[in-house]
Amino acid sequence: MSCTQRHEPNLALHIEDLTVAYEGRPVLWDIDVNIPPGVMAAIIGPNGAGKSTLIKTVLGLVRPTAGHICVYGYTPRQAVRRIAYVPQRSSVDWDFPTTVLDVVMMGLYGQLGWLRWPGRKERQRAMEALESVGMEALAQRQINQLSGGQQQRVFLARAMVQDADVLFLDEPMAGVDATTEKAVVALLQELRDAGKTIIVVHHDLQTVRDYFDWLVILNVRVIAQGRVRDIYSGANLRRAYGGRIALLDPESGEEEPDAVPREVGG
Amino acid sequence: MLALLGDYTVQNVLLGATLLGVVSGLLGSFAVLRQQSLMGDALSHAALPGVCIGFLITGTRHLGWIMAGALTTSVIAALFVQLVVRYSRIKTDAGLGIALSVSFALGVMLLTWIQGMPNASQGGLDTFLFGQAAATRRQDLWFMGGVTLLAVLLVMGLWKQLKLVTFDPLFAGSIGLPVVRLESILTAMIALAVVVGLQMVGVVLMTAMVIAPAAAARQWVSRLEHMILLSMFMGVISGVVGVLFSATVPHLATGPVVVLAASALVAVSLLLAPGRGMLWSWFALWRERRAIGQRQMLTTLYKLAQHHNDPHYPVERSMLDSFYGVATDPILRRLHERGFIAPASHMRVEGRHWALTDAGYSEAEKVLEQLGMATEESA
Amino acid sequence: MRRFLQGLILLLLPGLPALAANVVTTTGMIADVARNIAGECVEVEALMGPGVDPHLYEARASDIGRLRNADAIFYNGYSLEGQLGSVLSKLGERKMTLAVAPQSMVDDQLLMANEDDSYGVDPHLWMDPGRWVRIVPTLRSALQEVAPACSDAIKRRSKAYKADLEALDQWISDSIITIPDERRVLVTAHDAFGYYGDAYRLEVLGIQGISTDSEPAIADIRNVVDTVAERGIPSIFVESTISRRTVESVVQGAARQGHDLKIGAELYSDAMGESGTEAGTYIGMLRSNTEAVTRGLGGTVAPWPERLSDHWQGRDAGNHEKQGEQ
Repeated sequence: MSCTQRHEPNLALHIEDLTVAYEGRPVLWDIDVNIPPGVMAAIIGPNGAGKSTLIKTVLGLVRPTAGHICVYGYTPRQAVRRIAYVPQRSSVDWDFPTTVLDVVMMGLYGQLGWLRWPGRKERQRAMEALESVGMEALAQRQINQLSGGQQQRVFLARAMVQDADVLFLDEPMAGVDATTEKAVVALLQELRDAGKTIIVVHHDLQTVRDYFDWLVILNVRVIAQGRVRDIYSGANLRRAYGGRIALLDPESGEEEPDAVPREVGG
Repeated sequence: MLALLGDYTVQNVLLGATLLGVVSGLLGSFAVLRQQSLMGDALSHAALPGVCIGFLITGTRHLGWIMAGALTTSVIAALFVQLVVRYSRIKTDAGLGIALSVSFALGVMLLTWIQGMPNASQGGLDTFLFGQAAATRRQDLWFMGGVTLLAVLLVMGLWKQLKLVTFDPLFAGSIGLPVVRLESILTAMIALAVVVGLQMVGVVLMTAMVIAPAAAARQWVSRLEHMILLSMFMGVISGVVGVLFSATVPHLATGPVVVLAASALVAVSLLLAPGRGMLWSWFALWRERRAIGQRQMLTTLYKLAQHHNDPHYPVERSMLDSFYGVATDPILRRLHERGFIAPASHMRVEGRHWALTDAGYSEAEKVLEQLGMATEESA
Repeated sequence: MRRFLQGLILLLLPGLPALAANVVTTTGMIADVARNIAGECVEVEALMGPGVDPHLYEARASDIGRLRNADAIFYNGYSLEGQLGSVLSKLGERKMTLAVAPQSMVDDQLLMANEDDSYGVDPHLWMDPGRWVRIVPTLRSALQEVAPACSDAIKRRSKAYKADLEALDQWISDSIITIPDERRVLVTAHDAFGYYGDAYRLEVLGIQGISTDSEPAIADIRNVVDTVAERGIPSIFVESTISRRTVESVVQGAARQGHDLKIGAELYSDAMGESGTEAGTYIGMLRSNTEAVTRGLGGTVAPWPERLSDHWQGRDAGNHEKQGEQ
């Protein structure tokens, strides 16, 4: 459960033997994941596959039964300043009395320490983050008046204001309009190009190839992981999702032949 | 009234009610926002066995021990609920229900058991059920003031953390905040509020004081800072009104009146608050319905005008009545006021006629455009 | 089997003590009187011990058991035992259940609880031994019915006890009369002392009303504070069955008005003192109360009558002295 002496410092995320059990059943078992820095990675898998749990375990919100996790060679707790998290929108009661700007400033609470109150500098940084997601005009808006897409952008701005190296996002495109989705993806890719590592729990198989360059296919165990073009194949998807799954060519509507699966990791 | 305010007894009770209002409003806000309002109920009922145990340990009705007992059992109940919810399948509402009934049953059992003991100084323990606000003494005020000050300092010191943990505990955990500990503090604070209110409104009514001012305040404001301030203010108002009212009417117990005042504030807030209040919603709905009626009428007149190739075609009112099946007078009058239609006549013997004005004609066109409905081609 | 049991019973019979009759009362004040009259013949026990408030007392399962096994039940009546009403009336259908006060008193001896008669009769009749002595004949006949074998002894004891109570009555009168006129006001936590005040010509003022069931109102506290300050009353008294808060808040209120109100000793109003102590008997309770009131209001206690020396074994410093200002 802990990294000793900068274990695997060259990997943005290194997970080994991770096991998480809930009520006696394993939700994640024997997870080995290695994600290099500077990629935009998707974690996909069927419902109940443990994707959200994986992220929460990395962040220290869930206790693992076994295994260890390293971020750039440090434990997540040591590396807390280098990590940012965008939780699912549904995890929050949006009827909370606060404004958009206020929520974004909450991203800085970790850096302010226990007793300092946010001031002008923090305000400015928050406004800059809002600008980058196109929400600066709504800074004083009540969060219960926001649409789904706007809520997502606020969460994203809150994560960006932390200036982290690794961003974890839990289903950020769920229930969001097309414009917002495009904007968010563009923003994430910009961050990736600037050297950050983006790790996203993604729900939409259709868009994996367009958005991401790294992929982890998960169903309690890791089915496959690696570059999207290498491992995004009908065979791997079938193994993860069970049953029938057909890959259709978006242009012709015809079924693609199976790519030769290359096993990467466990 | 002035004589009342100058009276020492009344001042004591007023001060007590004010402190109660402050602490309830402050700590109740967090409970309400975390959807743990019922926690106040569970914790105040859980204070009862603590009161009894405090008495049993010392054999006297010494205030300090009794309050310590009440606080201890309250906090134990709170932690019990937290643990049960976190580590078992029992949901919060069931956990609260269990804690509430078990501790209250325990308390009542202890009360009746003490009743059977030969100790002659046990009298009056049951006053904690409903409180004895009128008999507030100096010592009580010092105690309540101290606890209230502690609560205020705690909230001010941990402000950002408490706010974030209340809003988004997952994110809070991700930036390294000790979420479980902070949540425990939030819950334990409710126990503090309960202990303050025990002697004023008693175990049974304390839950209302925790919930009501915060629920009422939520209706009016949109920022957490304001909600907490308003909540404290409303708590104080309930206390003051309750005390003054019960002081003027003979034989009226103070605690229940304070709670009634707080409830009245909630009712008023639910109805009248701009934006969120029920009356406002009804009003907005009514306005919308009226607007729809007018739009329908305009477009009907428009279509008739189109059909008859006359933009100012006079339409008999009874015709409109029969089309709509209801009396259309109010709608027509309103359209007339807005300048969209004007009275017209066709044949004297027939009833009222109405025709579109130029303004009305273009307004009708706009409405149809908005609805995306094609206009008839003028023949 | 049957033969075996019969034989067993015959064998044990000589060993069985004569089963004494037993009687259960609600308050200790009734039980003590009954005990003094019945002596060894009847076992008397009280449901409500020292410190228990009869207005609020609720029967527990074990109480029901004791009530059921009793040969007779004596209770006060006039709604003193507010929460036991239905239990007592049910039991009354099956055995002797006696409301001793209503059975013994004559109408013109009764006081009303409120001026406007809204509450009914004031039930605290034991406060005046001159009235309470009337339950002696009532209890005597009831006990004679329960334990006919002891009829004569019971009659003898009841006569003696009646004389004791009359002596007590005289002693109280002699003590209270020494209180100077302007101080003859007895302020207590609740209106329990109406009969005491009526019998010995003291004005009485209680913070709470007749029953401790109701929460004291701000107006009640203010009333007492104003009265006490205006008339310069020196002492206020706490009661063993009631929380001290109301009395303490009156003291603080009076202090604010510049009047130094002292808390006199603890009075026994709705229950006696701990059993085994001097105030644990009816006579002891009234002696303790009278001494506290007399001294607290500036009078002199009369010498204890010879006749009653058995009823007060202890030294003069009874346990009430310890419970002064706390």
